[in-house]
Amino acid sequence: MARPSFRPNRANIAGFLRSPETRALIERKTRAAEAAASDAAKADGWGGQFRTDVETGDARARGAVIGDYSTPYPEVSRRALLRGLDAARGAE
Amino acid sequence: MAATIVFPDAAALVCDYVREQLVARGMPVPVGTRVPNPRPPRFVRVERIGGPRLDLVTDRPRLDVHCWGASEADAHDLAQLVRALLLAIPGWRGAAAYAVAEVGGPNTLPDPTSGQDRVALAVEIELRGKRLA
Repeated sequence: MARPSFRPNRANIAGFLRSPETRALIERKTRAAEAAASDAAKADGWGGQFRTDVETGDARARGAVIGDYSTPYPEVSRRALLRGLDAARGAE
Repeated sequence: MAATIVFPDAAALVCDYVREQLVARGMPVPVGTRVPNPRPPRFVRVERIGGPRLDLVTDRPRLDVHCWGASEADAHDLAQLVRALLLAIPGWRGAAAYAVAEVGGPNTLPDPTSGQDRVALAVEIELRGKRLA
């Protein structure tokens, strides 16, 4: 008996990854991460100046959190951004 | 009433695992959750930074792992070895590890306090909890 095969519809997947709904979801998650990272940095005594960058490219929508511009120490930014990931996961 | 599930201390579990694996490979490097005082030339610090529960019986701690070395190359080599060990963690002393995901690849992060070379990476490890009796 032939095994069922799965053939991904690449055109539809690419369309989904660039859709306004997907972009909106990514933006909500990215902004949630930014807010949580900022709160974490402020709790540690830093300014928590993060920025969110969301764009729809040729292949997909993507989001990034950049910062902390208030500190010269990458360790502080790294720690706050790692904490912020929880908020991104929780955002729907 | 939902079952009461308690999860293992992920940082302590990973410290024990990495420390013993390094010793088994002839590298008795201090591994802990705090920076030792005085600082040895090589050491590893593991710290939990969040990571929510995945489901009723699975925790997914996010672990920030910093590897200090006597030089940039030394810190890099130690970090790559620790990284390989973490990605192969089988569970440790009764705690089952289901999966490991790298959430931050190795990056150079010199210690601003001591100036010592350091490489940092971050992983999330799915660990099974146990039901309280």
